[in-house]
Amino acid sequence: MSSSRVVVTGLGAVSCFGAGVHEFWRGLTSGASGQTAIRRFDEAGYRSSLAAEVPWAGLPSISVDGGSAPLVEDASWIASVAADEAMSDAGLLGTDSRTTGCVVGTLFSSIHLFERYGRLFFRSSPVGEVEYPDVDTSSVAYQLECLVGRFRLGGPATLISTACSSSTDAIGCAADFIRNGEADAMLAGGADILWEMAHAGFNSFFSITRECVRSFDTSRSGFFIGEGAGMLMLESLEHALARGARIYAEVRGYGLSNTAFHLTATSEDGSGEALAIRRCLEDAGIAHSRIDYVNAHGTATPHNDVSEIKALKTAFGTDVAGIAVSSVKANIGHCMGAAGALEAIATIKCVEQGFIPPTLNSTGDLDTELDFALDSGKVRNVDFAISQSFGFGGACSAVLFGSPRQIEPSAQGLGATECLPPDEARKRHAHG
Amino acid sequence: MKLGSDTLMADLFATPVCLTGIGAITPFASGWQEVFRLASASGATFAPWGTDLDPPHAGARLGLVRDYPKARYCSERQLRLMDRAMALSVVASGMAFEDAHISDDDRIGSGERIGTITASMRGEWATRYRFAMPMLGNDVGVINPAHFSMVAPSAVCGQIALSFGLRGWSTALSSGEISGMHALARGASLVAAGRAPIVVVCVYEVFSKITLHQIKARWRKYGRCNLLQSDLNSDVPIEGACAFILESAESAARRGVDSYALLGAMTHGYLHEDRPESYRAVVSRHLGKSPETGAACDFVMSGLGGAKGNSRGDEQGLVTSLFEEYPEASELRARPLFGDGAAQSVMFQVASAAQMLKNQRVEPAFMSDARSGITSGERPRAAIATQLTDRGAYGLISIGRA
Repeated sequence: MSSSRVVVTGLGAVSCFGAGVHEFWRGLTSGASGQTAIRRFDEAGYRSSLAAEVPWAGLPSISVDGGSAPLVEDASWIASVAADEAMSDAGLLGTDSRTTGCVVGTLFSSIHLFERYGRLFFRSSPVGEVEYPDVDTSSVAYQLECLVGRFRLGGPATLISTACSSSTDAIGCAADFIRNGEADAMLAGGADILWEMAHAGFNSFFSITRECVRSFDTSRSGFFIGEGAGMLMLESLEHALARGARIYAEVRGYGLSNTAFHLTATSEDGSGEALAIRRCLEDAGIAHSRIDYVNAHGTATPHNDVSEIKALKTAFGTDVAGIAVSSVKANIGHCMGAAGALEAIATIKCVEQGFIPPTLNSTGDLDTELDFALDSGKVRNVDFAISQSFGFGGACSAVLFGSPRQIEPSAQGLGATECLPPDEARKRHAHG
Repeated sequence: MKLGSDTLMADLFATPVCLTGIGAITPFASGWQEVFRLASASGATFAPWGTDLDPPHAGARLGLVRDYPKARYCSERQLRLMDRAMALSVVASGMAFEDAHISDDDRIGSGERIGTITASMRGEWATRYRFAMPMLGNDVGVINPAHFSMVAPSAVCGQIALSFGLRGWSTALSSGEISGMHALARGASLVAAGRAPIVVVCVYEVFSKITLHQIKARWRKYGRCNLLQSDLNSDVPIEGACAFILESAESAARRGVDSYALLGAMTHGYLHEDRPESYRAVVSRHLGKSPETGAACDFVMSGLGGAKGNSRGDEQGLVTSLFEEYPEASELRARPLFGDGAAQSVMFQVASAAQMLKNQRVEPAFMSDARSGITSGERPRAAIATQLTDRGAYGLISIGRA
């Protein structure tokens, strides 16, 4: 891999707390939860009826390719809102995007239009007599096409669909394009929405709780599905410094693996999941003893949390005791393909703010070898942190972020004062 | 043609990735050598589009896979637990491993070093619809959880990993018709970066009634109103799976296996305008990536053929820009021989180019009438495969003689 270093200069989020990273972070740090009864569809007949829905009425409207036609695909809508925020946050909205690319990670993008298409087809509705949804808009790839068209991105662009690990993978893949010199900047992240097909599936697995999400707790009973979008603006360090951009964090490395264990269940011994974490550490060139925080997948299903704890112990050995571990699933639900991007944003905010939001709803009965951020969260300096995700098909992904404080003064031949943490950069900008 | 130089492409490719195995399941044959033999002889034939599948017109043809050697790689029990996309992909991947001389014993103990990448344009549609049918019929009480486990595109990737014990870097791509190109690029980058010495890349498409309904809708949208009315195979939608084994030169040398070809620079993105300068910019970007592509290109293996043409981009424009750089190169086309394989198409293009580079012989059946300068007696050194989709997504891959 070439030596271009990759930094995060913009963040954008849409979650059950509304549009905006500020709202997202405030919800996490205050211990709020978007848990509610499903409104999106009639949940009668299902074992559980909980979810965390985006407040759609409050979202800015988005048109297709700058025209007057409204965007009809909901995941692409919130992806666009989050991407607007990330691009704007980075100061890149409206700038030349010929060398900017995009990697989207999603599981069920366009699923509501696919389902509408399927419903008409199921009834044998003749073409011409009823209006089927547009066939391209009904495809998963539409979210990528929507973002590429919206910002007229000229760089590499692709879409990853590794279920609930999709957008963590997307961040790593986007970073690779910059490292390889194929793009100066990349939008990375993804969006997923709550729809009956997803709820029905996870409900049939008994993965959806009927109470609340208690990640890692012995009394855990699963998650509820969340809706959301997370977008990160990644740039080469050189590109970011050249334009005086504020730097939230550095993408130090990432790792992927396949558990080769089961199509839907995480592995019994956590070894397949640990491989992704180890590869992430190797890719970053960071010793595991230097990791301060892990934003866990933490779905609160009986299988996942056991596998994940074993994976952490395998990857970090005895050093695991010194690492803070938390999950935001109780706050925002399991946002499926978008979970990785939103959790990456939470991780980066932990790096920036030196605060780890609480893992909610614990009864206190959990593995004592790990330092879970319980109750009201944890004040802690975070220099290096990992965000990790696991998905159907044995997909595992982990991405490692470093604080801008850890960017060496000699990096790219530039002085340390030019690698400013976000707060300092803001002050500098404010003072011209 | 200027084919006098004996310069080895291996010396020209900065970070070569070897293509050491190919597995293919098509409607007309299984096994890459048989597939290529039939394609080269223009011997691929497709059955009529059955009336039970609502044909667009009486003469329509469709490329359904009827039979393939399932039992060679999967037990009956395993097959019962798989959907069609999984079964096709596992078998194609098994064929690719076999073709690359990677045995079960070889994989045992080295599974952590073998990566898995899958891609499809619409591979999950059939399973998603099957899972959703109880909901569509308002009978959620009969939802089948086993069907839900297959609705994610990564399920196919996971099944390949599970079947062959692969725990290396792994991902699944679903970026539409260009997905195959993206899968090759990601797989090659994992090998080139040293993350996996071996990666299996499998691209697949499967049909069901709703899939065919959507294919027809898509063709109507893009003005391919002569759907399946021409005599060309180009316009026959086909299902199947094609898998490659990509390998580092070091790994291939250590194992003592021959490569079909070397994969070099890959470029992909989206075109926003159909203008000559846009095409030239893409070509410049590709050729500027590595010196090897500037050294030789004896033929362009384009994705053109049949009624393919689109509103947002015209691949002919892209190919024409390449010929401005390589005025003596020929244009070859795989689509008229293999059918319209959606995301799989690029796999057939690259596989065919690689086979011809290995054979040191250009098969006349692939030659486009428009530019057929190269003759079958000449020894091709390098090629570029191109793709440009209806949605404006483009990709180019350089392929060199091993």
